[in-house]
This record gives sequence, C-alpha cells and structure tokens, in this order.
Amino acid sequence: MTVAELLELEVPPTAHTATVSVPVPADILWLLDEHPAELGLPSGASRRKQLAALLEKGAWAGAAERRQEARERYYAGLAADEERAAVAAVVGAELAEDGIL
Amino acid sequence: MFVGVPVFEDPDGRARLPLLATDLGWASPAELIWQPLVALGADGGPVASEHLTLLEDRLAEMLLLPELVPPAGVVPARQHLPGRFPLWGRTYYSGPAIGGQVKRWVVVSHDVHNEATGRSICVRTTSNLSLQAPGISPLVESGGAVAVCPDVVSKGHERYDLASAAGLPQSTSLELRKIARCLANALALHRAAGIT
Repeated sequence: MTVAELLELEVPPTAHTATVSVPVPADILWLLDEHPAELGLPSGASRRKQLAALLEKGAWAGAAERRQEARERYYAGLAADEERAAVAAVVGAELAEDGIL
Repeated sequence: MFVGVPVFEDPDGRARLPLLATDLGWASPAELIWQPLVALGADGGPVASEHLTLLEDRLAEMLLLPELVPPAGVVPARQHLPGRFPLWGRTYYSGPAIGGQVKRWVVVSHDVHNEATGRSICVRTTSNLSLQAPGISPLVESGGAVAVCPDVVSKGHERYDLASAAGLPQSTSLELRKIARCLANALALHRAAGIT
C-alpha cells in the first residue's frame, strides 16, 4: 500500500465545502497522523490546515470500490502475522472457559 | 479472523452485563469476541438492521469512540494506577505466555463499564512494527509497539495482571485517540463514532 493509493480514498461532498467542521473519513485521519510528510503537507501544521491543504490538492477524489481494495491490501499484511494466530488460540481458550464460545 | 458479539438464547448468568434483545436472541457486546472464522459455529442469519445499529451504538459508547474520534474530540481523564480493576487507557500484561512471552494489552472500554461488568475490552499490542493499516496504531511514545485494533476482545478481570501496569510504558493521550480512530476503522463504527 502506498500513500498515493490511500489518497484515492473516497470523501463525502461536504468535505469540499468547509474546513472547520469537516466529516473526515477515519482512515484519512490515520493517514494524516502517520504520514503527513509523505502527503506533502506543511510540517507542524494544524489538523485544519492539513485538511485544507489536502482539499486544495483535490487528493480525495476516487471511487468507493478503490477504497475498499486499498483496505483489503492493507489488511492482507495483517493476516500474514503469525503471532496473531497464536494469541487468538489463547484468547479462544479463555473465551471458552468463560462460557462465551 | 472476525470480531463479533455473542448472541445467547438464555440471558441467565449475565445479570451484570448489558444485553440487547435481537431477533436472534440476547446480544452481549460486553463479551466481544475476536477469533478465527472457524470458531464462529452455526450461522444464525443476519441480525435486523435496527438491532445492528443499536449494537454499533452500544459498542462505540463502551469504547468511548464518540468522545475520542471526532477531530474536535476530548480525552477523558485516566484513573490512577493500580486500580481495583483494569482501567481504560492502561496497558497490562495478560497471560498465558505465548512462546515464552506474555503479551501486553491496552484496555479500551471505559471504567464505568469495566467496573460494572467485571470484564474489560482490550486491544492486542505487538512489537512487530512492520504492521501498517488504518486499523493499526503506532505507539511510538509509549514503547515502540503497535496496537492491533482488529484484534480486540473482552477479557474477564482475572485475566489481567493488574500490578503490571505500573511498570509498563503507558500510552499518551494522543496515542489513545489514535487507537480509538483505528478501532472505528477496524470495526466499521464510523457512524456510531460520529464521523463518516
């Protein structure tokens, strides 16, 4: 997954009309938190300025299908984490002991 | 893997837990499950959309998402350690060990829920920094790990080593907001969290 791919994520139309109270997709917020430099945004800028800069770039244009594909590629990396299955087995035993599973 | 809530035909023995009546039975969001798909068992069919909406709202409330996730969100104050039960925003060891290593979990359910139900919802952390996704939150300032928010589960209080939190690096307020955002992503609770 590249930042360029994430920038193809969908954004609601209202985001183009305001920079104060913008309904921002949660994955865009994650991107702003973790990869602001790669977005070419001013360093140390406020969240509001970051969003305004992104909107100015028109960077959020894209289809919902592409957004879904991007997510799937990201989570494929998680699925390959071997530790995950081992921990899940322990958790499963705990849930069974508690009468939940 | 999947994250879900169990549905029981009989609510007996769950008096302390918040239950929601659905067309399939009593849903128990406080007993959140994270397991491989094969553990799911019989398919009871889809839950009615109005019940699903209520479940999403209840889960988001338990996880403080409406407070933490929106851009203008707030971070509640955290209680002082050690506490009598697992506290929101705190990291604990929770065994048993896997490959000789006991894992650290961050508690993400709020304290009123934790105290009242005897269970707390927590997120797995790992030192595997290669993991990256909108559902995974780096914990740079609190020990160089990541919180894997798709791996969120409910644990009884006896599963936590309560004394361990005092000796572990604890997440900053900013990191807790990021974890909440990643939970909204991982659980698709955007609407219930107050964002798109």
